[in-house]
Amino acid sequence: MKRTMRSEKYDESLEKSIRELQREQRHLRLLKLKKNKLAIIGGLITIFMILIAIFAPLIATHDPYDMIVLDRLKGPSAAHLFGTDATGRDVFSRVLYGTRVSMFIGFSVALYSMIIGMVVGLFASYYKVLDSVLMRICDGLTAIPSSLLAVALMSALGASEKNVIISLVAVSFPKVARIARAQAMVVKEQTYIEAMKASGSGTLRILFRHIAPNVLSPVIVQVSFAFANAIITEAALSFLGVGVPIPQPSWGNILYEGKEVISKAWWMIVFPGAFTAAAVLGLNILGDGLRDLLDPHIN
Amino acid sequence: MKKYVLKRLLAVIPSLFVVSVVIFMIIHLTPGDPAIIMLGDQADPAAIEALRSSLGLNDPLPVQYFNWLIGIFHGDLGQSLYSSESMAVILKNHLAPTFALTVYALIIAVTIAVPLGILASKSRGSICDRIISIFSMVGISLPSFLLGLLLMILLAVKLKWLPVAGYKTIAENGFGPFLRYLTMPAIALGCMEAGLIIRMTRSSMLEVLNSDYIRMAKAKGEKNRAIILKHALKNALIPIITSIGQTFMGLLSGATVVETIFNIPGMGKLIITAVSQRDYEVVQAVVLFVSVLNIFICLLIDLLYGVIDPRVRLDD
Repeated sequence: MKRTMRSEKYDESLEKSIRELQREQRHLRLLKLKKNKLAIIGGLITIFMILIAIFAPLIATHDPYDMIVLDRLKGPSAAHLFGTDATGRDVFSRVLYGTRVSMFIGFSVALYSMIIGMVVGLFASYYKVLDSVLMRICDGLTAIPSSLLAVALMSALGASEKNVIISLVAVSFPKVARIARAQAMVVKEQTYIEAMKASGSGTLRILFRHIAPNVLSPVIVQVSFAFANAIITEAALSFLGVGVPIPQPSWGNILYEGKEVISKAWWMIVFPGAFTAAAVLGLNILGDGLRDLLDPHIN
Repeated sequence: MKKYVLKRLLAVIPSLFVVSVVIFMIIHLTPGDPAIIMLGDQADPAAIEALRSSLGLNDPLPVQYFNWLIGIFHGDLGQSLYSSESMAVILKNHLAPTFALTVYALIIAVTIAVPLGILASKSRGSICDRIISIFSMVGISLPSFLLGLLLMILLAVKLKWLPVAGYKTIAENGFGPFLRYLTMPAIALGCMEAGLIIRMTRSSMLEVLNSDYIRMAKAKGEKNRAIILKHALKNALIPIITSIGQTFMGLLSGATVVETIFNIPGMGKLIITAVSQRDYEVVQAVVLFVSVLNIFICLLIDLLYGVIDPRVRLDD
C-alpha cells in the first residue's frame, strides 16, 4: 500500500517535471523565434501576400479585364496607381489579381509536393526494394533541368492553371521525397519504432502516425522553398507563353506584356516584378528562419 | 579510386534510363496525332494511316520506346518539322550561344561570390557580413528573367550603355561585340547563382575556420591571409564545388528564359520556338540532350571530389 502511493507520487512528480520541461522548450522556441527577426519579417511578408490574394477583389480599383483604350500606356497616377497597360487595363488591379493566381499556384504546388514527397520518401525509407526504384525515378526527374521539364510538360499538357500545378509538382516533389527519406531513415532506427514493431503495429500506422510527424520539420523547410520556386517558375512559364493562359492576369503574364512595351512603360515591369521578388524573398527568408528554428543541429 | 570511378559510372545508367523514359512519355502524352500534324487536317485518311505505320506509331508503346532508343544510339535524334537539317546539326548550332552564356554567367557568379563569401565568414556578425547576407538573399530571390528585364530598362533603355538584345559571334564580329551583347544576360543569369555560392562559401568557410587545425595555425603565428587562403579555403572547397555544380544545372535551366528575353539563339530559344510551333521532336531532343549533358557534368563533379578529397574515395 505504502509502496503504490509512493510510486503514484513519483509518477505525478515525473509528469510534472516533463510538463515543465515541455513548457520550457516551448518558451525557448518562442524566444528563438522572437530573436530570429528575419523569420518574422519573412512570415509577415508571406501573410501580407496571402491577404492580398484573398482580398484582391475588395482592394482592386478597377476590373482587371476592363480595357479603356483611351487610357492606354498611362504612367502611375492617382486614378491608376501602377499605370495602365497597352490595352488600357489597370496594372494595379491586374497585379493584385495576379497575386491571387501566383499564391494559389505556389500554395497548391507546396501542398501536393509535400503530400506526394512524404509518401514517396516514407515508403522508400521503409522498403528496400521500393527504395532503389523510387529514388532512381527521383534522380532521373531531378536530372532534367526544372524549367525544361516544366516547359516540355506544359507543351504536352497545354497551357492552363491546373497543368502549371502538375508540371511544377513533378519538378519539386523529388526534392521533398529525398529529404523525407533521409530523415525517415534516421527515425526508423530508433528504439520506439522497434517497440512499435514488436508490439505488432501495422506498417502504415508506424509510417504515418509515428515516423511522419518526426520527418515533418525538414520537409516543411524544403516545402517553403518549393513554394518560392513555384512562384518563380510559374512567372517564368507565363512569361514564356506556356503558363497561365492570357488574358488571365498573373505576374508572369503582366511581365510578358510589359516586355513588348519595355521602352515606353517601365511600370509594367517594375510593379509586378516587385511583387514577385517580394513574395519570393518573403518565403525564402521564412524558410531560412524555420530551418534555424527546427534544425536540431543548430539547437 | 578505380572502384569509386566504376561505381559512380554505373550509377549513371539508371538515371539515363529514367530520363529517357520520362522524356519519351511526356511527348507521347501530347494530345494530337503527329501524322495529322505533319500532313495537316485536310489530308487523305489513307495517307495519314500510311505515314502512321511508316513512323511506327501503330506499334505498342514499349516497342516505340525501344526503336526510339536504338535510333538515338545510332545518332538519330528525330527530325524537325520545319528544318531539313539533321537534329545533331540543329543542336550543335544552338549549343555554342548557350555554352558561352552559361560559362560567362558562371565566371561572373564565382568571381563575385567566392571572395564575398570569404569576406563574410572572416568578419562574422559584422555589418559587412550582414550586408553580404542581404545581398545574397536578394540575389537568390530575384528571378533571372526579372533581373534581366530590370537591367534592360536601366542599362539599355535609359542609359543606353549596352545593346537591348541580340547575339554576336566571335567569328563574325570579334570578341568585343560578343562580350557587349552577352554581358547583360550573363549578369541576369549569374546573379541568382552568385547568391547561392556566397551562402555556401560562407557557411563552409565558417565551419573550417572553427576547426582545431586552424586554431593551431593561429597559435603558431601564421598570418591571417595565409590561414584563409592556404589552410581554410582548400578544405572549404568541396561544398563550394558542389554548389557550383548545382549552379551549373540552375544556369542551364535559367538560360531558357534569359535567352528568350535577350533573343539569344541558344538551346532555350530553340525549345521555346519549337513549343510554339508544336515541333515535338525538337522539344524532345533538346530536353534529352541538355539532361544527358547535365548528368555527365554531375558525374564529372563527383569524380573531381575524389581527386580533391581522398576521404570521398575511402567512404565507399
